[in-house]
Amino acid sequence: MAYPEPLKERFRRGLEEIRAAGLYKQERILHGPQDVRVEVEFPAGELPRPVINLCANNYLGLSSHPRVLAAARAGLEARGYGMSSVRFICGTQDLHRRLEERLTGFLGTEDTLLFPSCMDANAGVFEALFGEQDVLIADRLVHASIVDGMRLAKAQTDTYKHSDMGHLEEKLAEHLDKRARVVVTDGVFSMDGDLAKLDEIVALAEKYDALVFVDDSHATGFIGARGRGTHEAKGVLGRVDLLTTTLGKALGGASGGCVSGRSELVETCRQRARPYLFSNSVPPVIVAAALEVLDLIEESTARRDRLEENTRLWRRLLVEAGFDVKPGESPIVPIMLYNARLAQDFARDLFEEGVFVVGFFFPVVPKGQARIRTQVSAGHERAHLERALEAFVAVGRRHGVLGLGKREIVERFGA
Amino acid sequence: MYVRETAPPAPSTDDLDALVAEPGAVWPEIARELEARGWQVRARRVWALEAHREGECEEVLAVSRDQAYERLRELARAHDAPHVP
Ligand SMILES: Cc1ncc(COP(=O)(O)O)c(C=O)c1O
Repeated sequence: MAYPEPLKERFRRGLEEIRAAGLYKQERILHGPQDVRVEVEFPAGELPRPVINLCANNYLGLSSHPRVLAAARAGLEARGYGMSSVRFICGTQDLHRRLEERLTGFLGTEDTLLFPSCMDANAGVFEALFGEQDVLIADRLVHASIVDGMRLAKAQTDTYKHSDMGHLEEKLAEHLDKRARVVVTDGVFSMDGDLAKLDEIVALAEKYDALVFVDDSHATGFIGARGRGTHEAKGVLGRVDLLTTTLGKALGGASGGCVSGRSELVETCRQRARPYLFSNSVPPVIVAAALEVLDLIEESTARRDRLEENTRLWRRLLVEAGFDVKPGESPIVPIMLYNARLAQDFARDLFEEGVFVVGFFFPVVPKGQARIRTQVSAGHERAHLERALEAFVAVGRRHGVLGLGKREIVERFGA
Repeated sequence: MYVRETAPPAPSTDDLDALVAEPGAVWPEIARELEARGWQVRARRVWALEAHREGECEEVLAVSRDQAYERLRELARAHDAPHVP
């Protein structure tokens, strides 16, 4: 038999172990479009319940924006549904090239190449560009897709402690004998929402003759005065050599990603990056809608300004209510609960109270660092955030965590 | 990329002899066959390290022992780093 019983048993046991460890992922089913208010069926089989959404990457609230939908419809009519080809055979339309040019202009780089996703961009970029004489030096908290991409590359790899510039400098000095050094970082880190110190990173890279790679998935469209990303916020536009980002978050939230940067590097990816060469083209509907998203963002900064205001408001409301909030400036706002059980119960109770968030705990975050990660959107009205706060306060009271700091929470609930 | 043996057998006498011999002096016919297809074949003595934990496995090859351990530590770190989408 092709699927022998012992093999089946192995997978059954593996799944049971995931359940026993409390790590079994159950999908929450949305009945309707992605938005700041959604109807969610959870657990599966329950009646859908209306909740305020504080866990989407819909930072600019464009996932279901009428102009984006209209552009997608028009794109569908004008350029069809699917490309049925990879880019370099017959999967490149005028729209693909136009989007690449628009992204180049927006990101302030020299050239851009679309990928099916940012996961694919990260999986392909290092392998395409760097070999065994080169070294990739990554922040220890980079996204999982970068870790995978670095593993796929033949280049040597090293890491530096999260945002520790002294440690990065040591590593750069240690690797001066390599053909190329590449500092690899996220622009905004998805767990804590903190920004990479790109100004310092770029200065060090220039001192040690290294390239800088930034994954700006949690920044493109809204971080920086014009929303161009972390490099804009940190004053290093044009000085980042390689940038990857996603269309799957602020930029409409459908799917697709890109590598953008120095023209020779991007062109080498066009020739050699395997996810570009061997995976299908981004569908025209998405490309057409993404072009509209860029129009919207470039016409006005109103949405990113609104997001910034909402973020400030949300942080202030939470802190005033007595929650232990990780300080920061990005719309990723983590509420620290430290204890895994508490974070799980808290997220469940919030859902009952009409607020949709997720709890993160070990091994997703380090032991003793359990939290609720909230993500603010420009689409949130003040009333949404105030209503969400009421729920947070009610649940916070129930669990007795209001006004408590780390030490008190850990004393009461354990780490 | 290399093929890992699940339970590395003890090296045979032949293998041990080959290890102390000039690298590249063994299996010349396979080397020649590969070279005929455009590969430059090079044999090196390396440190091979493995770390296993609950079904996870990391392995490295490196010329120096220090480098091998450093690299193994980096790979193992990736498992313990927090990852959220
Ligand atoms: C930093 C970072 N890079 C890459 C990705 C993957 O993006 P995509 O959904 O386009 O594959 C994500 C999404 O979770 C991310 O947070």
